[in-house]
Amino acid sequence: MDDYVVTVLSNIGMISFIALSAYLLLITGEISFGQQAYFGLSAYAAGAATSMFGLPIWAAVLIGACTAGLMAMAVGALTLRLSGLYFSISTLAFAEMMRLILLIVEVQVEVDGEMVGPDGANGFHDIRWMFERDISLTEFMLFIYGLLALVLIALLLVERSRLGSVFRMLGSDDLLTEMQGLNTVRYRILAAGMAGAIAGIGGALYAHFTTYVEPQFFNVMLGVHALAYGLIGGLGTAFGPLVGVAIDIGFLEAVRFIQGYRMIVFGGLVAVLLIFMPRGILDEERVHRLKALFSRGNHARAERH
Amino acid sequence: MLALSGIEKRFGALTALTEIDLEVASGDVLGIIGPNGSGKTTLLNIVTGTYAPSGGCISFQGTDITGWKGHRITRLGVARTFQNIRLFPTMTVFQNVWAAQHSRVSGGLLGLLRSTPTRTRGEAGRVEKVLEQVGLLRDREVLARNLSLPARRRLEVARTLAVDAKLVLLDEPAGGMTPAETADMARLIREVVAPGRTCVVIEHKMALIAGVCTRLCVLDFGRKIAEGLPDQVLADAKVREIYLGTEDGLDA
Repeated sequence: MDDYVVTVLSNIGMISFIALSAYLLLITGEISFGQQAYFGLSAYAAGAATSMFGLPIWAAVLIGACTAGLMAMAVGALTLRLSGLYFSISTLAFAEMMRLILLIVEVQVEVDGEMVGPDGANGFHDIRWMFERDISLTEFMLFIYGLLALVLIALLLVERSRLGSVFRMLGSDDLLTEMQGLNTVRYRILAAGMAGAIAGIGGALYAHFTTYVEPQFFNVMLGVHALAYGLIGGLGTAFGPLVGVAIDIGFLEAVRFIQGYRMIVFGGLVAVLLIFMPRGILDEERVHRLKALFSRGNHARAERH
Repeated sequence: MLALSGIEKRFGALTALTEIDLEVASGDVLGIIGPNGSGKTTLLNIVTGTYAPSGGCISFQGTDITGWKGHRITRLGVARTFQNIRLFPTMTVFQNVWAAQHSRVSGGLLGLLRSTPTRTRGEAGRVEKVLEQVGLLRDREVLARNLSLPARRRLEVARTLAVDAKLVLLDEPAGGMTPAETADMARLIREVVAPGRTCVVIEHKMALIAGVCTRLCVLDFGRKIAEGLPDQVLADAKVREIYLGTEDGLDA
């Protein structure tokens, strides 16, 4: 595969994490404009782990995800008592705050005679883990997709369980969820932490893939795209946001003649879908029908045997 | 079982409930009747913790639950239905009932994660038994929003049966139903819900009240104006005047 294709596929993989992150909050009924902050925070934390402290990549991803998850829970504890639009605005405010803080963070250490670390507005250069280990782009892409598969499987398992049911209940009717004996704020904070950690995995990978991160990349457009992926692809299953990513990056980026107009087509697509399929292509109703179709198929096969 | 003393509720300048004293004994089916706006649903919302009372106190099985959050009160063994029917519309009938059990699963977060509809060791079986009791087993995989109104009311009742609720609060369980459907609901409450549970029923329909309640309480403008055995209460001149009008409208 040529480097261009590998890069596009890797981008799809890394953006998928933030799409899944926004999706997890969307099913609990929260619209967050701030998931890019956890992606960015983790990119810095994980980048620091390998380049400044010489830790292995798995530790860097873990540190990034945990940092992002804990920060998301802390922000969630402050903001999740707000409802609807007020919550959304507060997520945007916190995300911008974190981005602006990263703009002034200058913590550099000397590694092999060179200064490495976040350098304020200049960004964080020389996250050279891939070069030092001589890892090819293709190998790293496989690493990205391996982790994406793990996260996706974990999310699908959560969705089958009572915990996933609680998340969907929160998104459907907060008072009714409370009346089923569930402490809604606690589960919202948990969902925020999980969503932050998932965005964090993507950010950690991103830092090592590009070797260079700057706060500017983690602006609100990334968060808005993350939301759009779930809304396009559908909120009925964790595959939904992945469909959204594939449509945006895979299709719109790949089809040459659309390229200059990509954002126009993308914006139009979001508008049309929100009118005709408010909960996306794979919404709850369609997912339910697909499942029924599958289980009927299984029953039929079982009866034949 | 449930004791309210001196309950007051004010919304700004509006006083919704004044000085409500009420005791519900274990095993009772208490009917609360009264004109629209007399405070019946507000009273229910106060018992379930949706609203905090402005004054007075509530105790449930000897525990003072005044000012408790709704989820804590629910976990003590209180379950309710809603006048305007609240279900999770994009979940199936099965999932709606299953949802009532989430807060009772042991093992904390891990317990919640390990439990799936197919792997619940007895709990899923209980959901199916409850669905059979309310006559919804055949609709197990139907999304709640696609059910008919009587079926949706029965699904709400099923949810209260799926856990070991000691006190079940039913807010107009026959609202919007035909006489035949009302009779079905009355039978369901009498034969399935009431045995082994204490119930409070808000209702306008005399057919249901007469069929299921062991006691009655009448609210008017936020005050309790009568309480006692159904026959006595309904014969009370004050009740007939305020609630049923001066004409003989008992079987209306």
